[in-house]
Amino acid sequence: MLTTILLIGLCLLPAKAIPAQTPTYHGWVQDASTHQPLPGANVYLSRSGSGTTTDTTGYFRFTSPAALPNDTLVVQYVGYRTLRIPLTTFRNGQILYLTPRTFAGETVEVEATPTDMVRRDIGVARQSIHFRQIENYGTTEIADVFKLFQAVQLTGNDLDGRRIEIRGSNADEVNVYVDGILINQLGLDFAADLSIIPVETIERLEVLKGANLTLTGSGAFGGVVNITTQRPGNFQASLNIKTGSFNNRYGFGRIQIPLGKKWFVDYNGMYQEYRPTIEYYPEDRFAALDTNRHIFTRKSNHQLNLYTFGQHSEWRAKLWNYNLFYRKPGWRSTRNTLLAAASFKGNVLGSRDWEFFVSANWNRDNLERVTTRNNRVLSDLTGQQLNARLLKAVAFGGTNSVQLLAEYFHEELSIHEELQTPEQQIPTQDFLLYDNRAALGAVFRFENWVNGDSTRRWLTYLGGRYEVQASGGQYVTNQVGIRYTVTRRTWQWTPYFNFGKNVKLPYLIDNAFAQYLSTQTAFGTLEPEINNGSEIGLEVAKTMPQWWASRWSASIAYFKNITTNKLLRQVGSATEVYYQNGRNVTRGLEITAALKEILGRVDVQAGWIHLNISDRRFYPYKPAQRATLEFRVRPWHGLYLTLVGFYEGTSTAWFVDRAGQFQTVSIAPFRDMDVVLGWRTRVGRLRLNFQAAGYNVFDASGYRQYLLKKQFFQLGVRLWYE
Amino acid sequence: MVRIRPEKQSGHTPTRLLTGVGAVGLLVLLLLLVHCDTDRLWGSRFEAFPLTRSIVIQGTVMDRFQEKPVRGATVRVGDQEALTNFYGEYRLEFYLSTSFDRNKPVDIKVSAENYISFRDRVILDPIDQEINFQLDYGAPIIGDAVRHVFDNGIAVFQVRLLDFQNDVTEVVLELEYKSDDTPMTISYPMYWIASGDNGIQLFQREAPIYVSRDFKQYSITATFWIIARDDMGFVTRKEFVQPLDQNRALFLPYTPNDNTQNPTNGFDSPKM
Repeated sequence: MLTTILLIGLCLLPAKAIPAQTPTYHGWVQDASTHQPLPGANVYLSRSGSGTTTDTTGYFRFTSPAALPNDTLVVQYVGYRTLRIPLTTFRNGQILYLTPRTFAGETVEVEATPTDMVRRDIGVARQSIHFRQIENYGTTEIADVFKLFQAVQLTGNDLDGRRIEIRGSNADEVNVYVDGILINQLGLDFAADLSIIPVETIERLEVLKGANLTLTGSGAFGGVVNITTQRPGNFQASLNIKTGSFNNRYGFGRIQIPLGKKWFVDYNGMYQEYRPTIEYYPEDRFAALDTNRHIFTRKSNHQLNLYTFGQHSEWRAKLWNYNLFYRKPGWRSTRNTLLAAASFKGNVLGSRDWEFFVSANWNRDNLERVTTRNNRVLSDLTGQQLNARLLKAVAFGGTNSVQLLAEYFHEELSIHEELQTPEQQIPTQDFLLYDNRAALGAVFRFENWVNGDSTRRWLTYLGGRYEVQASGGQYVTNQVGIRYTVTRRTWQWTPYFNFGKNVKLPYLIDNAFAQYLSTQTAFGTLEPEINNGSEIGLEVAKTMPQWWASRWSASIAYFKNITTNKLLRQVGSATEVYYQNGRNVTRGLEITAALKEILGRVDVQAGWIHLNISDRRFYPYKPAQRATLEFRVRPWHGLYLTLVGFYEGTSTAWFVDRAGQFQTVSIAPFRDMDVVLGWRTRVGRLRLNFQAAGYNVFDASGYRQYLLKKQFFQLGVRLWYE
Repeated sequence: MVRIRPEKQSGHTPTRLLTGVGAVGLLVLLLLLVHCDTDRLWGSRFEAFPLTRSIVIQGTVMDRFQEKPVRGATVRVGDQEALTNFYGEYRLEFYLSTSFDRNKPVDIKVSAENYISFRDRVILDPIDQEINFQLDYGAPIIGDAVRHVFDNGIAVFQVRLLDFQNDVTEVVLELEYKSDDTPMTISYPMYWIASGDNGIQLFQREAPIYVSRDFKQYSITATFWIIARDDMGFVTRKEFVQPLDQNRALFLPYTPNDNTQNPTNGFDSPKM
């Protein structure tokens, strides 16, 4: 079936090539103060209505069959002033600078988005996709969206949560921010569960690769994921219904209502239930697969956002609830997560560029399992986190700036477990753990032009972070980043380099375990894991105003991450491996290439990564090679086709055998393809999107982390009213 | 797409309202801060006992039919094993890894010589626990065996054996002959006569008292062996020494007819 869809898609391709004389508009959208590209900005002609959104490098290109001579080009980006220029003054290839939304006409250096911290961090390799690309891919499972990113690997399952790993890191080495909320803390092992984010709420999804991030990347040896959800605005209502394999029932609704001229509110609701079939290795020895078909999963998600702005300020509040119910024979678990966040941005007592952010999260996991003797084990795990953040940007010397950060984290975890027999209740675990830490950070950003030539630009970042833990540790990290951009007519070359040190503090449960061990043996206390990362890369882009393609871009990066003090944990029935003397060196080469608007209809994107991991005990299940290939085809009249092919090479797993020796297992490579075919149309104020898709869902549902793929087919329809 | 229209000169009321709300919020926050446990907000606590789940599994291994302890039995739980002592007792300490928190069953295997191994997969309780096992004796038990020497040069051997599984497939009689001081052993398959209650089975075999071989005359000695083998591969071998003049019978149909060349004549075929 997939082949048929593919063939149909390819046949549609040359059906209608664009006549060369149709007016085409292309250019870049950048931030006026930082000169950073603004991906996902809306660019359209106000009268004829045709337009597009900018890509990851801020580039846009679209054709307008019916261009009116007195039309206006409109550029919109969340948090920026809308730019309107008469079409007659626009020149192709021009850079359009957007100024951040100002309050009462004043110039404000801070971009008015909730992702300041991410924008102001060290300039590392970034890749982002926006909502339209996610919509065209159409998946209900957020982890699938990450197949569109290079060097990102998916792992986890419904129960542990969907997790991602960047450049061969572990899942707990990727910090995930959603509207500024660090969601890693919700998990016991600090790995972010992405399944709490409904795909439809995402406005923009950005992956920052590498260990050298000062403001956002504390402990993130792999990188940072930054998710911005859609912000309230004009009235809009939408409904999305999907159904498919494994009795999947999925519904998503969104309504956004402006309350007067300054207050905006929106609500997103999601409900999903399905019966996944799970394959797992019952023996941990990768011998024979077992299948469980008696699983039921139900998820629901509610998000309420409130947004308002005053004369010199901007307020935002978010209330978010996630519920998971998971049942299999002898097992019943519920997870209830509540996140609340509020932020303020703007002027404080006449001083500019302040941002204050606070979030409080509660997470409760209830589990009831039945043992062979029909006894019940009831466990109740409650986590609470508090995160407060203060940011201030200071500009100096014309083009230079410094972003200051002060941060406070509180984490606490209580676990209560008891065994219920027919006669009595026996408590087996009961404890409360907590820890606090605070950090100060600063990123200096120096911008220079070579000989005053604006086509040759230096950007130098110097970052430092001081972290102190209530349990006694004090750590200093520092990062350096250099980017040099040369723009020559249609070419843009950006070589970059960054280098730095990162520290990952041991998390609660490990600290507790170490303390427990030290009462039994001479284990001592845990030291933080340390990473020294360096990366050198080159980004190249060329615009091609030819009729057959509009833009070509490529990047190459070589990186090396040295981690020391790595903690190894494996508790078997007879053996207990828990020690901290690990040293690992990961070297990698990452190459990406993209070609935009081939014949005005096709986008192609490809990526390949090669990893060399010296000690696979610390980084198991990482394929040595990984390649992705993405085709996006828009043949005509709102039809679209997305093909994502991927290949994962051999990876290695390990276990401790009966003699206490490490044994490795080689996992065979695999390749497959996801296919999405859809049609988008408009009836008056109603927009419709029909979709049919076949995906490969990844699942690590065994007792150990191991990826299994299963095929998943889905039909969906989405309605908007605005 | 989101469209936000900034209002430049639209009143101070929301700002004032927000300032008010902010001030009240700050007050509430400070009150909460004073009220709550400040060590929790600026301290640390990692005390978790017991965090690792090392549990003790102990119990006894008994013989199901004979109701006596099985000594030296191996009890294997997951990757660990222990031996039972004189009283059939065992004890082992077991780490519950995180996979046990996922209701992972653990393999249990109890084995002892001549016993049928016991295997199970259980989900352990996260507390110390007692697991007792009863093993089935698997090997055939050879009870009494007798020899009756007849005048016509035939000796009749009879054996009574017990097998709890009732699946004895082969019983072999091994006889020792001697000529001067040269010994020789000859095996004869025994044939089934009858089954009694509780798995008791009767087997019989006739054998010549004298055997000529290599121009020598061999005569039967006081020693003979019974070897019983069952379906599960258990083998029991038992030696008997009986004086040649001690003649008695275990059960009735033992009188042989003259045709010693066809020992099954007149009887049902042995159970093979």
